[in-house]
Amino acid sequence: MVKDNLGTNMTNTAAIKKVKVISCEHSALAGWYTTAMAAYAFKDTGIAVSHITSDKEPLFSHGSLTLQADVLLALQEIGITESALVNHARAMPFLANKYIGWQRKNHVALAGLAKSGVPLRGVSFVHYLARLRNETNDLTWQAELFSLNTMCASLGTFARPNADPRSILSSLEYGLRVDAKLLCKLLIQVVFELGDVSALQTNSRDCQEQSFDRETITLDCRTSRGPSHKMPLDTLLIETPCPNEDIPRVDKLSNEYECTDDGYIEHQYVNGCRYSRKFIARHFIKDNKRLCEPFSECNEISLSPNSSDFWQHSFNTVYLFETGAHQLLDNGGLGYRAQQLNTLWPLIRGANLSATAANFFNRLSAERYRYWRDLSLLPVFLCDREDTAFWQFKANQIEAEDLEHVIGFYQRTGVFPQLEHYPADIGLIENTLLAFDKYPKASDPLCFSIEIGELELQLTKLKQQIKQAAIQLPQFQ
Amino acid sequence: MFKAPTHQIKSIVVLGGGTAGWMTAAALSKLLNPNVFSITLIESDAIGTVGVGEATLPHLRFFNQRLGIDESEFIKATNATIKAGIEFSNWGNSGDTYIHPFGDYGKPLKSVEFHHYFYALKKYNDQLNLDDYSLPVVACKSGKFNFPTSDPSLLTSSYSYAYHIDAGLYAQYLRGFAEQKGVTRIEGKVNSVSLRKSDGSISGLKLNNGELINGDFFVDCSGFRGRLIEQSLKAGYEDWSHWLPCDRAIAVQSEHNGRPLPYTKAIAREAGWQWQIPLKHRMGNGYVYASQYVNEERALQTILANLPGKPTSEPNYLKFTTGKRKLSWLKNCVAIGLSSGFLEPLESTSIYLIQAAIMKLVELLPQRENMAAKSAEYNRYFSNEMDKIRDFLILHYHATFREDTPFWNFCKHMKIPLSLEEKMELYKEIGVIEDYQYGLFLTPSWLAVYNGQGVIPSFSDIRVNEITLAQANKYMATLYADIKQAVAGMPTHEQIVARLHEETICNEPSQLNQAVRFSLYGQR
Repeated sequence: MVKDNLGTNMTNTAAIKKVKVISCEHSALAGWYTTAMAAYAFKDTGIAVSHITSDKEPLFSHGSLTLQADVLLALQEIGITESALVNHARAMPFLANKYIGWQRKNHVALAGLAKSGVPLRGVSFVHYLARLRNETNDLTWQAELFSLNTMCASLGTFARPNADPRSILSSLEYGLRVDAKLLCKLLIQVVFELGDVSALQTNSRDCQEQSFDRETITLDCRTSRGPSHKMPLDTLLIETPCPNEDIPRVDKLSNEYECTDDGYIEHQYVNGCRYSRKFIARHFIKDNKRLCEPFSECNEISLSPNSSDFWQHSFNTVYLFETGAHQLLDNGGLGYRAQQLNTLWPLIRGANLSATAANFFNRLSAERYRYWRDLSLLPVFLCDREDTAFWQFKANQIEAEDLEHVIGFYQRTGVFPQLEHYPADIGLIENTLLAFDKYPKASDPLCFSIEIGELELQLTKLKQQIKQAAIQLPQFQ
Repeated sequence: MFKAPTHQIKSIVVLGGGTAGWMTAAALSKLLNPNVFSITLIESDAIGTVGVGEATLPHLRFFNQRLGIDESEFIKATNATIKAGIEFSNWGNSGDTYIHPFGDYGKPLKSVEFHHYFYALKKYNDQLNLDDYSLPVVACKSGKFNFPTSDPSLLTSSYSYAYHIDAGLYAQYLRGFAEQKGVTRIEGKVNSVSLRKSDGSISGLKLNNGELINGDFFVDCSGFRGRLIEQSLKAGYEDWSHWLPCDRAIAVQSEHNGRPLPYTKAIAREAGWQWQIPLKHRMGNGYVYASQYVNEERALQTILANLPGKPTSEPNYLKFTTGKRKLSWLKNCVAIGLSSGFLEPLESTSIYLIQAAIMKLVELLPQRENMAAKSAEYNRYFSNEMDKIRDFLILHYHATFREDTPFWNFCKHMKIPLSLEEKMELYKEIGVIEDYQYGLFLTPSWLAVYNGQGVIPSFSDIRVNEITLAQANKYMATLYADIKQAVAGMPTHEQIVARLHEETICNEPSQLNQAVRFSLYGQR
C-alpha cells in the first residue's frame, strides 16, 4: 500500500491483504474473469491478487459466448473494449435467438434481443398485438414481425443502433458473440497488465487443499457442489471445431436452438465459424453413435449440479461456481458473475468481521441464481412436447416457481410481475415467450380505445416500416 | 362506435372524496376510455376528510404530468411551495439537525459509493460534514432553490423536488378536473353494502337516501375505517404499532413566522414528533405522538407552545394504528389511501402511496377472468412497497442515542424487523447500503438518516485505498466549491415561490413541466 493512500490509517486486524482465486480445468474462464475483475477493483489498494489454476489443459464448456450489455460494460471497465473483442476474440454481433422445431416439426420462430413493437398511448405493444390476434383469430400476427432485431437477423443486415429516439434504429439492440478461448486469453493479458497479480499453475491435488489465513480471502471458482435445484439435462456435448479452412463461412446474426427428441442443440456463430453444443439427459441415450449426432466429433461434459454462489464465512472462502446453469447459459454465466462480483467487492472488508456480509451475499446469490437458472431452462420449460421419453420426463424435472408465476401471470394479463431478482428489462424473455406462442390471453383494457380496423391498419404500417428499415441497412460482413 | 368485450369491467365506483378518492377518480377519468368506463364517486359532506397530507414527494410531479396537469396551474391552485427535502431535529440526539434531501451526496468513483471516501477522509479531518457534499442540502440550508437541469453530467441535475400543498385545495382541484372528464359525483353516505351470493364480491352500495349504486369494481378511499375493504370484506389488518408506536396526531394551522422554507421540518418531541409544512399562505403543523407515553392534553399543550405563528384553525384530532391491510385488493374492491394502511406521516409517503397504488391499478386494470391473478400480484407489489417503507421509517426511531424520555428509551431498545436489523448491521460494519430495483427510499435516503442520526460505519470499502489522501482532499474540495458556487447562483425559495404565484410568469415556464422520472432523486 502506498504510504499516503486514503485508507492507510484504516488498516487494522480486520483487513484483507490478499485475494486468492482458484480455478480448475473446467473453470478457466470464470477463474480468469474473476481474477481480472479483482485485479482491476483492487489495483493500487495494497491488496495482492493471485490466481491458482490447474496445470491441466482447460476444458471449455462453451466454444463461444454471447455477451450482452451487462458483461460488455464490465469488460469495457477493465479495458476490453468492443474493438478489442472484434480484433482479438473474433466478436460479431448477435441480434436474436432462432428456435427451430420446438412447437412442432419445421416450426421456426425468432426472439429478438430488444423489445418488440412500440408502446401506443402508454400501453405496452404486446397488448395491442394480443388483442388483434384474439379478435381477428389471425395467428400470423407474430411479435417477430415488429422487431428490427429479428428482421435484421433474418435478412443478415446490421448497423449500430442510433441514440435518437425518433429513429427506428434506436429500437435495435445488439450483443456480441466471442470465441471463449480467445476471450480467456484477453482476460489473462489484462490481468498481467494490471500488475500486482501472481498466477500459479498447480496440480489438482494442491488446488483442493483448503488453507485458512485471516489475511486472505479465497474466491473458489471450481465446479459446484451439491445441487440446490433439479435439472432435466445432465450432459452437454461440445462439437470439436473442424480445422478445415475450406468450410464455407457462416455469418448468422442469430443463435439457433434446435429441438431434438432428447434435448436440444445450440449453434452460435462467431466470425465465419459455427460453435455447436448438444444438451441431453444422458440416460435416455444408450447408443453412442446417436449420442454424438449430428456432430462428427465431440467432447462430452457432465453438467454439474445447480448451485448458487456461497460465502463460507468461517473459511474466508467464497465459492463462485462456473458450472451448473452457467454451462447452459449462452453467456457462460458471466452475467451472473458480473452481478456477483459487483456485490462482493464492497463486502470484502467484512470478511473478518461477523457473518453479516456473508449472509447478505448468500441471500442475494440465491435469489439471483434463481433468475439465471430460470433463464437457462426457459426454452425447455416452454416446450410443450410430450412425444418422447425425454420430453415426458422433463415436465417433472423443472422446479421453477418464479418462472411459473411470471409466465402464468403474463399469459393471463400481458404484464410481467416485478420481481426484485429479475431484470427490469425483460425484452428477450418476453420475445422468447411469444416465439413459443405464449401470447397473453387478455389485453390491457386501455388498449380498447382504438377500433380494431384502425389497429390493424396501424400495425400493418408499423410492420412495413420495420421491414423496410431492415432491408435498407447494409448486409453484415 | 366500437363495442368493448363483454368480459370487461365497465363501471367503477370510488367511495370517498378526500385526496385519495379524487386522485383516483381524476387518474381513472383521464387514463380510461370514457366510451367504455363509467366512473362514479360517492362522498359525504357529513364525513370529514383527513386532508393533512400536505408534504409530498417528487413522484407527485410524475402523477400530475401523466394526467396532463400544468405545473404552474397546479402550484397556484394548491398554494404550493417547493419542497427539496425534510429537516429532522433532535432525532439522533437532542440538538442534532440534518436534512434528508431529494438528491445525491457526491458521486461514486470507480463504482465505489461516495460515502466510503467521505468516511475514510473524515478519519483524518473530523470537521468534514457530509451535508456539504449534497447540493440540495446546501441549497435548503441557504433557503435557496432552482429547478434542476436534465443533463446527468451536471451537478445541477443531482436533485429533484416536490411541493408543500394544501391537500384540501388539491382534492378540490382534482374534483373539478375529474368532473370535467365525466366523473359522476354523488353526495351521500353508504348505509349498506350488497355482496354477491355467488362469490362474495360487492355488487352495489346502498346510500342513506335509499339510492343503490351498482358497480363492477369498487375503490375504497373511505379512510382508516375501510368501509368496504374491512367493514364489508374483512380483509384484515397487520398491526405495526409495536415498531411504529405513534397512534395519534393533532393538526393545527398557523401563520408563518417568516419566509417559507424549501423543506418540511420534523422536530422530535417528548413522545413523537412535530411537523411544520410551509405553504404559501400559512403553515401546516401537527404533533404525531404515542398515546401510551403522553396524553392528549399535554400533546395539545406541546403543539400549541411550539407553533411558529398564531394558530389559524381549531385543532384537528386524528387516531390511527400504523400497519397495512393484509389484502389491499380483495375480490372486486381495492383499497387506496388510508383504507389500505397507514405508515404515519414521517417521510410524507401518504400521497406517494396513493399514487403508486393508482398507477399499479391502472397497469393491472382487471377483467373478470383475471381479477384473482391481478389482485394477487397487486397485493404482492403493495405489500413489498409498504414493508420497505416501514423499515425506513422505523430506522428514524430506532437509530437514536436518546434515552431521555420513556418513548425514546422504548424506541432505542425495541426489537426491530429482521430485514432492518440485517440492513443496519451491514451498514454499521462496512458501510454497505442495500439498494433495490423496486422501492422508494434508496442509498441517499438511508445515508441521510444514518449519518444524520450518528450511525457511522466502522470501515469503508477497501477500494478507497486506490486514491491518495491528497487526491481525496482535492476531489472533496472541488466538489464542495462547485456546490457552493451552484447554490450561490440560485434564487431564494421565496423569490421562486413569488414568481410561481405571479399571474404571468416570466422566464419560468421552460423550467416547469420538465419530463419527470418516477424517482425520489435527480438524474442518477
